[in-house]
Amino acid sequence: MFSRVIVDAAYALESSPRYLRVRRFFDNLLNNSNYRYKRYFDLFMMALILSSVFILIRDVKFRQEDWLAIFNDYIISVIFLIEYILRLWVSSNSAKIIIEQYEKDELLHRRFRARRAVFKVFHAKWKYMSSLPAIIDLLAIMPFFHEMRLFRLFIIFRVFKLFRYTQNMQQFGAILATKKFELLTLLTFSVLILFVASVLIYVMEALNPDSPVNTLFDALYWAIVTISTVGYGDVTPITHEGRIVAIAVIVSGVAVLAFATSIVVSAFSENIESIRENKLAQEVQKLKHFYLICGYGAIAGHTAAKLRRMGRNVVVLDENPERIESARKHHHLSIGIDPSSLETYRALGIDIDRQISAVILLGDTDVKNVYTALTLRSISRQVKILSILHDKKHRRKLEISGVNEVIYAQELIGQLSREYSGHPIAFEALYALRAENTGVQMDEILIDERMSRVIKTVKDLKIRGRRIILLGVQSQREKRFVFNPPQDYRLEENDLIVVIAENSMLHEYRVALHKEGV
Amino acid sequence: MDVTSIVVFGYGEYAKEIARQIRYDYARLVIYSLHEEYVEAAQADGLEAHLADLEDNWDELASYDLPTTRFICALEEEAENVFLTLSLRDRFPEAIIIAMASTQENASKLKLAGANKVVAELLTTSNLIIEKLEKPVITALLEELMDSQRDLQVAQITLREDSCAVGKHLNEVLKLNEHNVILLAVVDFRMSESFIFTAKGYNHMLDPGDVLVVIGYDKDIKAFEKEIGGSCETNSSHWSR
Repeated sequence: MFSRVIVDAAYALESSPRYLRVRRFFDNLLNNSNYRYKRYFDLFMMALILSSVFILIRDVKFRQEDWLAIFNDYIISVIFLIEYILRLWVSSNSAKIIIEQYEKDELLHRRFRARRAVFKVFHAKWKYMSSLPAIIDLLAIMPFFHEMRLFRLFIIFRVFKLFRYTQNMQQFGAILATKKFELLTLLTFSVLILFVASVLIYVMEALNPDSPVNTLFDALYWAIVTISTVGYGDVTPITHEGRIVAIAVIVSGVAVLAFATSIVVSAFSENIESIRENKLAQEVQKLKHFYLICGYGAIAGHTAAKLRRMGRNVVVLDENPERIESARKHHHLSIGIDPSSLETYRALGIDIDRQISAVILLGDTDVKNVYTALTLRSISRQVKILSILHDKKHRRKLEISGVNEVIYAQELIGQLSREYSGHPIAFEALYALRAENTGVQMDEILIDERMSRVIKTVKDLKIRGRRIILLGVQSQREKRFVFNPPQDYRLEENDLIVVIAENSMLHEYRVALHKEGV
Repeated sequence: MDVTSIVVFGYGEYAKEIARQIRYDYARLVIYSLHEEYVEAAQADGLEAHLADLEDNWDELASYDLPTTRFICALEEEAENVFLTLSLRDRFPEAIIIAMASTQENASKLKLAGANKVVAELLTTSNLIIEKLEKPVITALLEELMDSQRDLQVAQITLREDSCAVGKHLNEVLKLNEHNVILLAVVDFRMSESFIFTAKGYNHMLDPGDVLVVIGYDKDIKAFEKEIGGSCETNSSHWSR
């Protein structure tokens, strides 16, 4: 009966979209550093912790205000308790554990062992509860029992909770964890020295009435102060034997410090690249929109620099360390990872459809670009992909792999040469309009929903009387470019008008259009 | 004057593509290469090709009518290309030379060597990438304007002495223009070679020899040209395509 109930409950939970959605939400909020709202949650929790510590400090010399006491002892503690319960809930999937056990038993044609499943569930929860962060969380709730004065000091555990909410601290911990063995060796060595030194100094000094070392605690205190090279001088050995012990402790103290420093420094220098990559990935996650350039070379350098001059965000990916170093020298946001690997985009934690304006494939070879395009297409069907083509015969392959625009430099240059040979002045005029520094530019203006309410025809654009040339309209209705449209030509939402004007006039006109539909 | 001959130097990747694109547009297309195998490749593609030497004095080019000929320097080696441009400029001061460069640095060297126009691969490609992303409609429009097979064209009209537009202000011509063409810019070679864009609203007095840059459909441009010339009773303007 009991078995039936828990299996049914487990299946019901696992098949409920609402339950799964809520669970995923809390899991993201508490544990997923790439989740948009986690940052706000972390900031909120940090504010609670700091206010709690502030109340504790204030409590030392001033009379506690009632409302502050209630806030500190109940409200904050209850919030922490809720957080603890939520963390415990999402730490392991109990329903899944029960279902796995049930299906395994079914497969082996044996009776469902409910007790074993429940044990596994508790074991998973206990594993989480006994982890250091969970213990700190639990201790941080303790001030709830404010009647017990000792528990008030547990507020200080709330400070340790800060580690949870600051990614830098987590990274610091993770880096030190890579040197776990060395740190443990150092700790064992130090404890051994402390133990031997304390016992020896006690044996040598305790019977001497003039010596300040009278108890084993005095001996331990002296050993720690000496080995750490702090040396307060309040407790000092006075016998020859004691001083010999002191010399040994001082020498080993220097060794311990040097050893500790070198472990920390080497841990950081070994991980500096991954720290940098993580930091950069975080920066990329924060960008609202950006162009992603895959493969860095001369064309990528020019493109990135110009896009940045236009105020666009650019992120460069390349697995070659030299090329990525060169990109960094030019101050581009660059990450040294393989753009053709799926893992790259998972590690970056970006929302391709939302954040990426377009991907520009500028790899060395067409093979590389096709491979990267396929990787990107397997993640997103929408993202716009533009690729350079190295060999004409590969054009079709790039198109099949999902590239929206293929750029073949040779063809373009052939076209330009032909144009220039034919009518150089007309060509130069068009070329000048495309350049950045002629003072006059050709630009597109989108008729958005708001503008379309006021602007019904070309006449409503009020181009006449302004020094603006309306070249034409990219019409949504006609699905073509309408050159030099007449004054009564009907305009609709999402039509694009192409105008030529002097830079400041164009800016003024754009503002006017957006403000009030001219 | 209409361009009749194109001389392309080199038959590498770029030169090949240039030759492919212009081979049917002009009466004569000649390839000069420094390598025997390139000459053979060009001949195999059905083109007129000759072997050349950088040390040449290029006497055989003297037979070309320079105003109707364009030299395109697209040798595979950048240094050779610069040397070639310099030699051609030295030998033919009036020639119109178009040169290919991979980087901006080489582009400036080619300019110094005397090229009239330098097409820099890097800059051109990266500009096109950005335009395709940021201004897709304009890019498509410019591509259409550059495509000689399409109706919408950009053209240049040179005003002759007897053109009715001579002596008039630019604004008057703009008002008179009832054809479906847009007058984009004017180049006054007597004042400077830079463009006077009509969008800037500068009221320029038109002189003979000024070149008008117009955009429009083929037939409209022809009608506009005729109107400017027609009122002067002769076909006074010339526009080359």
